[in-house]
This record gives sequence, structure tokens and C-alpha cells, in this order.
Amino acid sequence: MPFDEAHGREGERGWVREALAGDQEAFARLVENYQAAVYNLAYRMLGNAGDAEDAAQETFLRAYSRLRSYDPARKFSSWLLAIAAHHCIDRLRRRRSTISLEDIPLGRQFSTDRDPEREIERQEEREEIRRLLERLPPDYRLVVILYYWNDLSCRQIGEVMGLGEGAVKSRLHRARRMLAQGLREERESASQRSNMAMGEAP
Amino acid sequence: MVHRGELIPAYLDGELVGEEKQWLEEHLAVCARCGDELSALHEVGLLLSEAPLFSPQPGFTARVMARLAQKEARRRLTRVAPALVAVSLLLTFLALLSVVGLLTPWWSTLAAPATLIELGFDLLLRFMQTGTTLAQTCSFLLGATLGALPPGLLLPYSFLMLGLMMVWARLVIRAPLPQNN
Ligand SMILES: [Zn+2]
Repeated sequence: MPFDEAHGREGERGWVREALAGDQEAFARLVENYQAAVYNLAYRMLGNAGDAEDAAQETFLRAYSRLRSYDPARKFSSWLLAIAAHHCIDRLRRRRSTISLEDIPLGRQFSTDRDPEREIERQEEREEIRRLLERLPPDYRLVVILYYWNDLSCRQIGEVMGLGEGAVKSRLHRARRMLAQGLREERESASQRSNMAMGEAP
Repeated sequence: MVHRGELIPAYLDGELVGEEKQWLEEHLAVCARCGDELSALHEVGLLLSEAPLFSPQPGFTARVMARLAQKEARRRLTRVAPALVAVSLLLTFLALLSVVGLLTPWWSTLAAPATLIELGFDLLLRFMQTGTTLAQTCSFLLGATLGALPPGLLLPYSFLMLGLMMVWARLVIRAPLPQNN
């Protein structure tokens, strides 16, 4: 079912009410609507498809059992994304002591693009974004994801993370500078590699 | 040269005003390093705003709802479990009462033995008596149950008892319930 902004908030509130009354169909509609927002956040935070699927499922299960604590004055998506964000950061914390991101193979994402060359290019871009995000500490990564993919304003990100608007903005600026630094380093090492491949021609 | 890289993101977003903006523009005209940072920041912005929103594999909602149903079933079981345990304990208690009743004559015989032959004879007698009582009780209970229950209810009743025993065993042995998460 498509989700249009016009009667979105009202419909959403209705679904939450119905889900609270025990209507599983209504909850399924909420899942349907927010699956991409939640899954993408988990994917970008965790860096692979398997963990992202699991974390996204877990987010909705938690949301269901905490539905009673949802305050309808808040945006449902902010509330849901906050659950997803906390869960992903928890996972990263637990993971740090066991395995590093490099050990986890990148899950293949299906794509509608039929052109194989364009597909390879996209794959490389995806890898680059993943590597760049990985350089950021989890809470900086979260700010970037919520800003660029979930289209939240700094104030809304503040609501999700329990921070003031100013704190979010300065984190976002710092995160972007770290990403830019990473991009420059990537480009430099790529050109060094290609120089070496060309026999270090002057 | 003083570099103020922290101003560059705000400048890129068009949020820098007044003296700071003027200072940065003058600085950018002469500083290659900050110029590089500006273009890298610009590129990062493009890269991220063009990156697609990943969706899960088809059937995500169904997978979530299946896990939810599983969780709910487990929750319901743990909610009725205390009642089942109470019933089981009551039945056990009643059974113990009749066992105690059966054992009392044994105890009195063993506590005050007259002679060895008498004791042996007494024990044999008690053994037969107990056996008869047990058999009578069983046949009485069985007969009463069979008589009281309409034939159609016999099977469901057996299943109920079986289920009760299983729940009881599970809670006593504390075998973990199947978990998928
Ligand atoms: Zn400079």
C-alpha cells in the first residue's frame, strides 16, 4: 500500500491504534511502509545484508512489544528509527570484541539495472560508500545516515538521538569532513596503485 | 597560514554569513589545501545524496509477521503455564495423599514387629491388601472416568492429560523452548 504524505500521518496513527488493539494487519502495514527506511539504516550502519535483515526484523519486533510506550504526538518514523539506531549501535558494540567488518562478506544487493557495466560501477560506488562510512564512529555514521537517506532535519535527528540541534549539526559537519578526508585518501592510494601498475612512469 | 576547515561544510551549505564568509572566500582564493577540502566535501555530498535507499529482499513483512506470531505463541504459553503448574501440583498432591493412605498400614507393621514369622506373614498380607486396593482404585478411577465421560470426549481428555504432563515435565526439567532469535 503506497504511503502518501497527505493523509499519511492520520493513516499512520490509525494503524498504530489498530495494532495496539491487537490488529496484526495494521502492524503489517506499518512494517510494509517503513521496511526500506529501517533496513537501509541497518545496512549502512552494519555494512552487510545478513546483519541488516536481522537487525531490521529485530527492530520491528521491538517496536511491536513497545508500541504501548509510543507517544502519538511524536512522529512514528522518528520513534521507529530511534529503536533501529539503538539496536544497531548495540550490535556494533558487541561486534567490536568479536570480528571486524572486513571479515564479513558484502551481501549482494539485487538491482534493477540491466546494464552490466553500469552495474559494476554501482557496485564500486557502493563499496566506496561502505568503506567511507566504516571510518566513522557509530554515532557519527548514524547522523550521516539519518541525514542523507532518511531525509531528517538536524532537529529531527536530535529527537532520534536525544541530542540538541546544534550538537547534531556540528557532528554532521565533522562527519562530512572525515568522509571528505577519507575520500581524498582513497583517491590518492588509487592513483598510487595505478602509477605502480604503469611501472612508476614519471 | 591559518586554515579554518571547520567553516567549509557550513559554507558549502550556504549557511556562512558576514565576516566569516568573506574571510573564507578570500582564503580559498589562495589556499590549495582548503580548496581541495571544499571539492572533496562537495563530492562526498553528491556521492551520498545519489546513493540509493536499500530495500530488504521481497517478503520482509511476511518474515517479520512470522517471527511475531512465534513470539506471541511463546508469550501466551508462558502466561498459561502458572495455571497449568497449579493444576499439576494439585493433582500430584491428591495422588500423594492416597499413597500415604496406602502406606500407613505398612508402617505400623514395620514399626512394631511381633515375631519374625508373624512379620513375614503380616508383610505378605499387607502386600496383597495393597495390591488389591491399588487394583481396585485403578479400576474404580478408570471405570468412573469412562462412565462419566461421553465417548466423544475420551480422546480430547487423553490429549489434555498428555499435554498437561508435557508442560509439567518441560517446566520441571526446564528444557529450553525452541528459540529462533
Ligand atoms: Zn587553507
